[in-house]
Amino acid sequence: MHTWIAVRDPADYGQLDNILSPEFSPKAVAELLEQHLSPNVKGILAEYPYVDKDYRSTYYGFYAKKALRYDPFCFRLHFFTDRVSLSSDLELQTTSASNRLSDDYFGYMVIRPTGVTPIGRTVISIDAVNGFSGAVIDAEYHVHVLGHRLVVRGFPFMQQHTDIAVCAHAACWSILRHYSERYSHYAERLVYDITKMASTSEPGGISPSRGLAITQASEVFSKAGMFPDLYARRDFKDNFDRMLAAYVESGFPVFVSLAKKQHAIAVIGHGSPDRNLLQSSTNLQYCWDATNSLCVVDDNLMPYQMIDGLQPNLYKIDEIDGFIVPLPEKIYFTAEAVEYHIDDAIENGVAGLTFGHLISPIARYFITTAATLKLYFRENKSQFPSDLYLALIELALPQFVWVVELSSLASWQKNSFNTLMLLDATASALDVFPYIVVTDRNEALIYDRSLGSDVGVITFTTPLTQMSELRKNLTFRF
Amino acid sequence: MPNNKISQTKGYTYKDRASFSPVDPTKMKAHADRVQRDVIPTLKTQAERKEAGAQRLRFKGLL
Repeated sequence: MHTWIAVRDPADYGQLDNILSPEFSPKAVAELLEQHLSPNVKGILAEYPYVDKDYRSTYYGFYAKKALRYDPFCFRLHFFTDRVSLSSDLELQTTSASNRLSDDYFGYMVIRPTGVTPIGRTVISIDAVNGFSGAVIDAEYHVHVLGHRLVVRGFPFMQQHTDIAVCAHAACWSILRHYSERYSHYAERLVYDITKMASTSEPGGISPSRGLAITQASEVFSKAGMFPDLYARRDFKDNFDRMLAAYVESGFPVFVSLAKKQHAIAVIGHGSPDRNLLQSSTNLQYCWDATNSLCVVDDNLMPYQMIDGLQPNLYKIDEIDGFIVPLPEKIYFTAEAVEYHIDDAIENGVAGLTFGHLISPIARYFITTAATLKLYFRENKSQFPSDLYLALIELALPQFVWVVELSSLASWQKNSFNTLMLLDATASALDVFPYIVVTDRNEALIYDRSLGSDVGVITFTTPLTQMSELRKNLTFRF
Repeated sequence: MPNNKISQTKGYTYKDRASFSPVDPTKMKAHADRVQRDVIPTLKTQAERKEAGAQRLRFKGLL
């Protein structure tokens, strides 16, 4: 069964009540869609019966064992622009010039027959979200409907089941599904798998779930082949928030605990930094200190919610008391080690290179891959002295590199930076020279770590002036 | 073991340029000594605090 709903005004979401039976909670779903989706969404295709792998995992492991009868099938809602329609012979048609349906597709939402919290696996584009402004980690998802293969970029979301899985499971699921979709290295884990992975002893039975301690969440990521690093706010009073932001800017979704609220969410992006917030100062400042909002996946809300440290809604950023960043293998050098080296470099220089030319220095740091970095260098070749460019494009790099963009305040306010450092993400925490490249205005130190040769110096014929910020790890909408 | 034929030559194009020279070893040593003295002990202390903090979070209750 495929039914088309034309959304001319928000009240049209109420038509779901004519299509979905009460165990799918159509009124609650319609209300959430009406509040959350942008006016760009003009058509919904409702698909039933749909076999959702995540719901089925909980059905086989839990719901089918209950006395109450649960439907094994789900609804799936697909969201489109006003250029798409469904013909009477079930042909999806678009009037867009490209004739590519994916250009008019905003993603999908599975509706589970579980009565409460029915929203299951959901991947929607940030362009479908009312008033969204920010930058998010995302991946490409392929969707098959009515003989079409559609593509949408987004980050996975679902409401918690409340019984077989709670908020911490939902946050783990979102992060792991992102990794399995984006990188073929990681296996796909279904909701029930994650519930089982969280506890080996299952004290009190697997259901109803009593929730997870943060270290159990960490264990889930370990079992999924990741390398989780755990940070407590209490131990990083000055830089907890900016390390969180740096990992997110690196493209690594972060599992966050709000212990006072007994809640867990995933942080998957951030808002635009306030470029007027940082003032003139001789002390080093970090751009992440000007980033006041985070984009989160919270199973109690809808996808891509912004939480703001200045105007708290449900909770404040400073209520985050701990986070887990599940890292890929080959990242041994931590964010805090990077900060210590940046602080030392600004104060003392690095082997003869100095940074006194930076007026009110600002640091922006994050991890990226060697492939992304070289793409950035190639696309911005004209911004680098030619001899430096040769080294940057040719050097053998580890898979992951810490990038440090150092700017004067005025350059940072124009989304630019003035000097660059690259640090080896595979360096040991106590490595005294973790750098691969360090530049000041006139010279660069180059340490070819792959061949173990001595550090060399490149003297520029023209000084480094301004380079564009690297913005390739996230999808930006600001 | 690195490829000897590459390591016998300079290998990379940027090293063949006149703009490239070895770093002053005294400057490198001064940098390494300072980092060893000032940065590494702080990092070690921070790492111990971080581990203790992770243990504390273990007992913070359920999410």
